Amino acid sequence: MSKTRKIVFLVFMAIAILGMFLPIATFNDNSSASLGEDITKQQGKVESAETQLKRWIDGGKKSEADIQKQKDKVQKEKDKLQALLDQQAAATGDSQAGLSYALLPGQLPAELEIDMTVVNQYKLYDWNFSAYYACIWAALGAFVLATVLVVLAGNKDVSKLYTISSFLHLIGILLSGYVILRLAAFPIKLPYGNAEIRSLVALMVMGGSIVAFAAHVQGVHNSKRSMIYVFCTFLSVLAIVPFWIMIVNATRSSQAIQQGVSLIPGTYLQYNWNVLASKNFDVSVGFMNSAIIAFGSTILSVYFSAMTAYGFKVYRFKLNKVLYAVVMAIIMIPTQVTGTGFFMFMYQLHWVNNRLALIIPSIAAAGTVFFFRQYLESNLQLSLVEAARIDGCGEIKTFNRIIIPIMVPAMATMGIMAVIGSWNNYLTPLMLFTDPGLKTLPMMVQELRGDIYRTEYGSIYLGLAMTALPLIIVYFALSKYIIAGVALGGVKE
Amino acid sequence: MQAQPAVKKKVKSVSYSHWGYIFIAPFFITFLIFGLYPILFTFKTSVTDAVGWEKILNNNIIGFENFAQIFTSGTLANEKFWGALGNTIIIWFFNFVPQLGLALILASWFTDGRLRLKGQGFYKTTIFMPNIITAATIGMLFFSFFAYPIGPVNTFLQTSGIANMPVEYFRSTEWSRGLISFIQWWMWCGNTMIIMIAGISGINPSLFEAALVDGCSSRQTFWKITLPLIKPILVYNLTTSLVGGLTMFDIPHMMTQGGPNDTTNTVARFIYTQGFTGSRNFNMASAASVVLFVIIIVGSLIIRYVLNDREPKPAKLAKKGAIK
Repeated sequence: MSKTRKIVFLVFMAIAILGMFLPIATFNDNSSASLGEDITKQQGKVESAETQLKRWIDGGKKSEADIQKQKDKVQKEKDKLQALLDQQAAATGDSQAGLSYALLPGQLPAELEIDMTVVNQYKLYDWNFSAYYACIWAALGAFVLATVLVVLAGNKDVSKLYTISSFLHLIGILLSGYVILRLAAFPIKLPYGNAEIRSLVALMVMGGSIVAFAAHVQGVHNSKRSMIYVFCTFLSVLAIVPFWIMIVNATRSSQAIQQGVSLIPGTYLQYNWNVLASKNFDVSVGFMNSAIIAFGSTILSVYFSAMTAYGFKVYRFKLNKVLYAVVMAIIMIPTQVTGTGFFMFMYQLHWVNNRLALIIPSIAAAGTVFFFRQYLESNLQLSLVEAARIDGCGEIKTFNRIIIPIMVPAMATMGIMAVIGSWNNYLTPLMLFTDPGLKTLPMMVQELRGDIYRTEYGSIYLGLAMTALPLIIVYFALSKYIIAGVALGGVKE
Repeated sequence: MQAQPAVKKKVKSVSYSHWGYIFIAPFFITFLIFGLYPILFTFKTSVTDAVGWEKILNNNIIGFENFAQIFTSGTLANEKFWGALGNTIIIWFFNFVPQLGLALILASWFTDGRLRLKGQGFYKTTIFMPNIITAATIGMLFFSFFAYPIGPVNTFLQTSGIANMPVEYFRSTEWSRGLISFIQWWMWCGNTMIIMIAGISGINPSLFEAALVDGCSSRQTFWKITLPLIKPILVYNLTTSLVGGLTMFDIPHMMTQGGPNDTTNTVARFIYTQGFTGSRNFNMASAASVVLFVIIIVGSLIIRYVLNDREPKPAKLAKKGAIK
């Protein structure tokens, strides 16, 4: 890092850290400001009510009852005015308006009580100030450590310390930003309204740290690397967090879920499970159906696709090229488009509510055929087949005994893809199956949308987690093969 | 002429070629029954009056009335179908453009020999993960996340002071469409990225070495070498994404159910609601399927034609040599 950049970095870092020690928020007595307006309004109301009353009495046209009503109204307005005046007197006696509050040292002043009515109304805020303070201290720590690391890294242009430092720095920015926003939202009891952030201090903390960060990133040669790491980490977090929240929420009570997001599991797993069980949400039915369909169709598609690909590769029949072009065209036909005709055909066959309707058609898996054909192209030597023929092995036997073992790696890859594809299929079973005993897992997910789960948030998440967890586990066990399969399947042409 | 005797000789000895038909027979028989026949059935139903369970199989051919309904303005079917198509294209566009852009950027980073990023396996694995989770589950998950008035997102925005009031996401067209686009982006970004990485890794490394020797910057290498060479893969990806996007069903169906006011209704949902709910308008569902089918074919052909044919010849040759 060049000298000037380093100075810029250090100066702005110092401003940011200093900002964290300054009073950042003022709890304004916002009641007195609006009170004055209210009082003038109320005075106007009293006057207009009184003139109306006078007119009625002078005119003599109105009945006694009406006049009495109007008199009551005037009295009511006068009472209201008096109440406002009393409030104003109380407020001016109270000279604590404009109380300021420092971001870092000390605690919230004792007289700033949390307004529990707001709390109970929205069930939003948690009063765990220790967590809040932990955030502030963590942000400060991250800033200080990031600064120290940059100083330690010295003038070397490429250093791991810079990468770590930029991560820490970013965490500090996020945490302090969160704290500043959070502080403004604290429901403080009247006469103090919510905090008003002093813009200068907020500017020092956020602006200072961001400028320092920019100087840091700009000045270092390997900054592009660090930024890529930061960005990729962000994307990874974005991919994982929804699932993590889902799993965590599956173990929390509905109240806790209403109160806020948490990344730490709770203890209500058993309870949520019981709720699901009591509402006849039997995940094992969906699991069984999905498994039967997925494995049945996968075995068929993998075996017969291998057979088809082998047929195209090894035998030189007349229509070879034409039919292979047909296979390539079939890949592009989306199932959604043929869904209506498929359903009506199944209705004709009396295969509606029959799992075979989803298993048998997978014999014709064009994408898998294409993949196997490519695989055989580079992994099969025709001399092997010829040798088998000379030894008197029949064609089908050659395929089963000799070719299949060669194709096992490709079959595993495509098998995984086929299981996942079938497992995730939602539209086709939705069209075909009306029998509740045949529901697949994606169809059971739709049940969770129903009204009977309206307040049972925990059990909704548990239901979702149960449909997703098998896939997540399978994915992390086999991610290498899955990603390889996607990569190979995508590079066509 | 010269080749014929050789062939005859082969025929004379032992011919195995008929075995080829036997090996590919199961595939084609299944396709004819469960693939082609339903397509023809869809075409046939689209010109009949098949409405409701009684007429599902005993229906009469009434000509192109269903298509006429789709194409004459003013009818309900017309409004809903073209509205759904518009929604689908908007949602697909705002998912695909950022998706392809980001996937290309990530792929160029991951394959850049000069950067030598560590932990690539971890990043690829995690960024790809949403793609394999059931779309229906993800739709429902995000429906819970963005629930009103108390859902994790609303709660978080309020407690952190970013928003004062809870937002009713699924009452707003922009939010609903935006969320569906976001989820589609989030699910498919990893997939496209991995395909792009595979495509870039398939380019002959000597080309990159030559560029390095000639003093190309990373940016120049990307624009002048990488991008032209992975163009076939881009075209393929664009086509599959368009087909997938036009037939999008799971997420809108699970999350917004087409609402608010049918502004997130997709064509696949239109077909589903016509044919599989309410009065079961199989004929209208079929007609819409046929129109969608034609749109998909025309769209794919346009992409192929526009993007492939304007390529200068030398690049085409290089492509053939470079990509396996």
